[in-house]
Amino acid sequence: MLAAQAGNRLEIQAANPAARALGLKPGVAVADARAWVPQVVVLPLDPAADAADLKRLADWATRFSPLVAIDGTDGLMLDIAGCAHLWGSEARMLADLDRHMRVFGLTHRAAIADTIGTAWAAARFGPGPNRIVPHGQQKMALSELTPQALRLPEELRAQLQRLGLKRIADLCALPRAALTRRFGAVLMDRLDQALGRQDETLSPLLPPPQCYVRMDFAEPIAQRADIDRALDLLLKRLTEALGPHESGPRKLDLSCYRLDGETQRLSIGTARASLDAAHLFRLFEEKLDLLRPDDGFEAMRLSGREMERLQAQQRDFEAGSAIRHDLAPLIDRLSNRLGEDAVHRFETRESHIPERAVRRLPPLAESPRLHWPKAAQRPVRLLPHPEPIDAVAPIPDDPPVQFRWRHVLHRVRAAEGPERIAPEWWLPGQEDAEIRDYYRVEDAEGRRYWLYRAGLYQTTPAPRWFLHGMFG
Amino acid sequence: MNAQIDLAQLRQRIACIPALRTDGRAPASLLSTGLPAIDAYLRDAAVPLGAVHEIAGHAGDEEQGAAGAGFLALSLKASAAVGWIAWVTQDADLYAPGLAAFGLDLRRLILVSARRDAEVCWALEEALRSRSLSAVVGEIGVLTLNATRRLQLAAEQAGIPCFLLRRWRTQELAQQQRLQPISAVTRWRVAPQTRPRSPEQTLTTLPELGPAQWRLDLWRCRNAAAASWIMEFGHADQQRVAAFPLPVAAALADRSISATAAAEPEADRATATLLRFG
Repeated sequence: MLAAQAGNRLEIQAANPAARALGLKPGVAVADARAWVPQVVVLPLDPAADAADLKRLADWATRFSPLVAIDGTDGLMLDIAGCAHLWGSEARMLADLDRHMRVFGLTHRAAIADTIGTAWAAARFGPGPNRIVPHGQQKMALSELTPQALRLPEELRAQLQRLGLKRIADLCALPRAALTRRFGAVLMDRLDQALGRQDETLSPLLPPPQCYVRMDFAEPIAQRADIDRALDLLLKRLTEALGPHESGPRKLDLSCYRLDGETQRLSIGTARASLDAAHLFRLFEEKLDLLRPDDGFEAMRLSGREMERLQAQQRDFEAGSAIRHDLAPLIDRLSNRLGEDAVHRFETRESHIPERAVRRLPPLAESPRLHWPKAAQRPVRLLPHPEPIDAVAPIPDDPPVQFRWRHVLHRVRAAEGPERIAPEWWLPGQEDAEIRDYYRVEDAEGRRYWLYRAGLYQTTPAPRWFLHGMFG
Repeated sequence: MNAQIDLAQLRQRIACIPALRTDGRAPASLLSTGLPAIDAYLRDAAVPLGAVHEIAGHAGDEEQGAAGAGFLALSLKASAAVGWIAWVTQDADLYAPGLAAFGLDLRRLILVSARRDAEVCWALEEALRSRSLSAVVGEIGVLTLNATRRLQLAAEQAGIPCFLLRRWRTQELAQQQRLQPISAVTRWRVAPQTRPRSPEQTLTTLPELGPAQWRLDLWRCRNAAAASWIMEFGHADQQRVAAFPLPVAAALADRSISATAAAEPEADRATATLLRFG
C-alpha cells in the first residue's frame, strides 16, 4: 500500500488487490486503515521514481511503435497505425504486450481503438483488462461507460454526476448546443475526439522517425560480433529500401531493447543525407562500445529522421580545388566523436564589433561570405571574452605605457591607435554597450597585443581597460 | 655547374634514404614557406611536404602561439595552395580576419574543436587518413613520441603536411615539453622580436609599431643543420613579407653553434653530424 500527504492527513494513494479486498481504497486515511487492519504495510509514495519508471516503460514501448507519449502519471499512449501487422494482428500485438508486462511484474490494462479518446476510455473504464474496439465502433464501446471516461476536468465530472448523467449514452442523447452552453466547449470536444469526429494528435516522446526497420531475435544477442552483424543488416535493409526514393536521413537512431525492459539508444548524424551503409556503420561503430547488453537484446530498431534528397555527388568546385575527394565522410566522423557543432567554417558578418564580425557556419555550407575592411588590422588570436587588465595610461586618449595581464607586467614600447569602434546599439542586448577605443601595442619582448578602453576617457571612475587579442 | 647538379641529386638521394623515409621513395613535393630565403634552404635539405612539422611559440608566445599561427598561415598558403585545410583547435581564439591578413584563403579552412590533446591527435589522424584534404593543422600541448610517429606515418602516406602548433599553458609545461623528442621532420620556433627603436622615445609619445618582426629558428631539421632567420611582416602594406638569414646561420657553416641551439647542445649534435656527412 502506498500513501502520500493529502492536505493535513496521510491518504492511501494506491493499494494492492489484497488491501482493496479489505476495503482499503485510495482516499482512505492511513490512520483509519491502521485501525481496521493493524498489520497493513504502508510505504511512502515516490512520484519522481514513478515518473522515471514510466519514462523507462515508454522507452521500452517504442518497440511496438515509434510514436509513444506519456499520458498523465500512469498511462502510455501508442500510435500503432501501420505497426500491428508486424505481429500478425492487433490481438497478437496485445498478447505480446501482456506477456511482457507479466514478466515485468506490472499490472496493467490496455485497449486498442480508432481514436485516442476511445482507447483511453476503454483501457481505464472498459469491462475487461484488454480490449480491442473494432473499427468504427467507438460509439458502441463508449455508450455504457461513465462520463469520467471522457478525460474531463474534475469539476465538470462532479457537475455531470450531480445532474445524474451517469452514462455517455445519456450525454449523446442531449442536444449539442445545450450541452455546450451548459458545460463549455471542452465536453463536446472530448466527446468528438473520442468518437473520431475531431482530430487529435499525440505529442510523442521522441521525434517521429520518417523511416525505420526493425529486427527481432529468436534468441537474445549479447556478443559484440552479433550486434555488429545485426546493425549491418539493419543498415543494408534501410539503405536498400530508401535507395529508389533518392532520399536519405541525416539523423539515425539505433534502439536496442534489452531483455529486462531497458532500452538503449545510440544516435548519429551526418553532414548530409547518406545511404552509404558502410560509412554509416563506421559512424555507429565508434559508439557501439557504449551499449550494455547484459543478458542480451531481444530486438533492435533503426530509425531515420530529417530526410533529405540525396545530392548527386557534388564536388567542391570552390577555390579551384584540385582535390576530388568527398569531404562529407570525414566531417561525419569528426562530428560524431567530437560533438555535433565541433566542425565548422568561418563566415563574416557586416559588423564592426570584432567578436560579432565572424560567425560559425556548418562545414558543408555553400560558399561563405568573407568580407571585411582590408584596411583594419586584426589580431590572429581573439579572446572569446575580453579580459580586464590593469593599465596605466597617463594621458587622455593615449595608449597605456604599461599594463598587467594575467599577473604579468608588460611595458609598452610602441603603440598605434586609437581605432574607435562604436557599439551596435540597435541590436538587442547591445543597448548599454560602450564605445571601445582599440590600440595596438608592442611590449618590451616584441609581443603585440590588441587592447581597448571601454567608454570615453574620464578621470572618475578610472577608465577600464581590456585585452582582446594577440597579433601574429 | 655540373658539380652543382650533382650536389642537388645527392641531396635528393639522401632524402630517399630509408632511415629518413619509411617507404624509401623520394618525396613528391617539398615543404615551402613562401619566403624565398627559407625555401632555398628547405629545397637544399629536400624537406618533404608529407611529414610532421612542429611549430612552437618562444620567448613569451608559448601559450598563445600568435606568431606561430602567423607563420603557419604563410606556410599553408605556400605549401597547400589548393584544397581543404583542417585546423584542429582546443581554444576558440583563432580569428579569421587576422589569418586572412597573411593571405590564407579562409574558404578552404575547416575548423575542428577538440577538448583534449588526445582528441586532437585522433582528429589529425582521421583527417590525414581521409585523403580529402591538402593540409592539417593541430594546436596541441602535450605529445608523446608514439603519437607523433603515428601522425608521421599517416602524413607520409597521405603526402600532405601535418603541422603541429604547440601551445603550452604554463612556463613549466613549456620547459618540460619543448625538448621532448618527437617524430617531426622539421621543428620550428617562432619568437616575437623587438626592433631597435630610435632614441627619440619620450615619456609622452610612443613610437609607431612598424612591421612585425619574428625570429624564426629551424632548430631541428632531419636533413640539414639548424638555421635562424629574422622575418618581417608588414600589416599595413598588405602581405609584405621578407626573411633575412641571421648571421648565426652563416656561422653554422663552420659548425659553431647558434645562439638558440647553444641552450640545447645535445639537440644539435645530430644535425651537426648530418652536415658533415652532406
